[in-house]
Amino acid sequence: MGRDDYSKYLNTLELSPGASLSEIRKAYLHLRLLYARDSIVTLPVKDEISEERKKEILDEIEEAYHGLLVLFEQGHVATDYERGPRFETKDLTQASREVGNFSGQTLRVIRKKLNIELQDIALSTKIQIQYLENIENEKFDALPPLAYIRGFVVSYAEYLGLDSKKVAEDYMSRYHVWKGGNEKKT
Amino acid sequence: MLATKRASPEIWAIGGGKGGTGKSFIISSIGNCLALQEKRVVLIDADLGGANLHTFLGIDKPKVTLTDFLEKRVSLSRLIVDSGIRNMGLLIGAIHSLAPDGIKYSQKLKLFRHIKNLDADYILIDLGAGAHFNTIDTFLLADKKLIVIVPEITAIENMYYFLKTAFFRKLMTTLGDHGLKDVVQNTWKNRGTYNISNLNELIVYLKGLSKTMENIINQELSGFKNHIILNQITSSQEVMIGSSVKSICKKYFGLDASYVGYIEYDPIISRCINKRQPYMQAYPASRCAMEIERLTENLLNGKDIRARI
Repeated sequence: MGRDDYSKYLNTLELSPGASLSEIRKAYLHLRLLYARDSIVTLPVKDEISEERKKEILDEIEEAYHGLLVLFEQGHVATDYERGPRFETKDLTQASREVGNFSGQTLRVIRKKLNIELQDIALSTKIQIQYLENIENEKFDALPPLAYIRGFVVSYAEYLGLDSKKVAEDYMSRYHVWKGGNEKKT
Repeated sequence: MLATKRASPEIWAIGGGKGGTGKSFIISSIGNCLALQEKRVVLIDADLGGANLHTFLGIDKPKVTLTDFLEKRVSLSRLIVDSGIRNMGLLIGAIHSLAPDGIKYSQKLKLFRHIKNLDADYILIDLGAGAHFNTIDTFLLADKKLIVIVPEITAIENMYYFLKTAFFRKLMTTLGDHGLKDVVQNTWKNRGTYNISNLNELIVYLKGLSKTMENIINQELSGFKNHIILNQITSSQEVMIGSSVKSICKKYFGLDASYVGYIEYDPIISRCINKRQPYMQAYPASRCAMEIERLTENLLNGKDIRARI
């Protein structure tokens, strides 16, 4: 099991093997909308298909998307942790060197550039999406205990294919600056 | 001189049904891209009714046309004129003395044979508007089939019709070779009895008739791939129309398509055409020029554009 379903689902969503979760979600949203309402693309072929078949297509799209999510969650599919971002590794090593200080903000900018959704990182790293958001927003007071933060930042940076050691060092020094300032106040 | 054996040229044809969608502009621009890559290109204007590809290239109407091949038996290669662009020749299909329908079947086959034997790397064929069977047959001759749409319901409607007609004609020809033509024609004639109302249902019905029929149809379906080009878009949302059309082709008709690229609307293009100035040479760094280069690359590499936003 798994492999066959994986191909079948990807086929339904018109994707190629190795598609990232972001791509899967985009394809799903696009196709669902395309087959659920009339548009200049579907109106001319209204008579070409029965209502039942149209309903079937929509059901297949739903099944494929949810099926793929399950396969990803269960780890049947290697997530884009091993793929996607690696294509740009060269640029990213360069970027890692050029970025003087990795803040939550820079991490978000890089992630967006790579077209990666937080949900993808959450699924792959098993870190709650809320924490990932807090890391990006530097809501330090809403982060888990200190012992976890470094590990989370490392996983996040690795997912993006960045130099995780440097990212963690930069990020943690920002954290400590905040913490120091905070302790003085109290 | 020794005659060296050479590979036959790859034929690309551009069609799509509706007129005014930019077929001639796009195919001449693609030709320009290929020629720049040191490929030897022959551009054929097969718009039998209103050949005007020479205008896009900024040259005067060539004096020799396909008429000379058909009536005076002049060899095809001698009818190719200079396109004004290095590595690219032009062959005008206008047949003055004949009505566009007037070309005989045997003449057509001979013409196709000679086109395939031209000494070039790429042969680009610009088809006229409409889905006349001569247009369709020329389209089916191509190794790569390009279809152009613009974000307008009428263009999309005509394109579906064009594709269905082309596929049906291809299927009929193949089934004819197997002596099965009558089956299809009779089924379609009596479609009311079989409860068939569209191409999709006809295909499902035919496939159910026999294993041979199913195999032939599946083979024809997989061998009929089209490359979608979306022209004249005015917003980034419209980029998705190409992906949508591709999806409908597959899910409604079982036809494979790839979405190779889009071209933004640029008023400078019509200005260039009116000034008889090849756009790709006048504005090589424009966005449209880059979009055309990108879609040419995608065509060469058999890739789709990443279009979901």
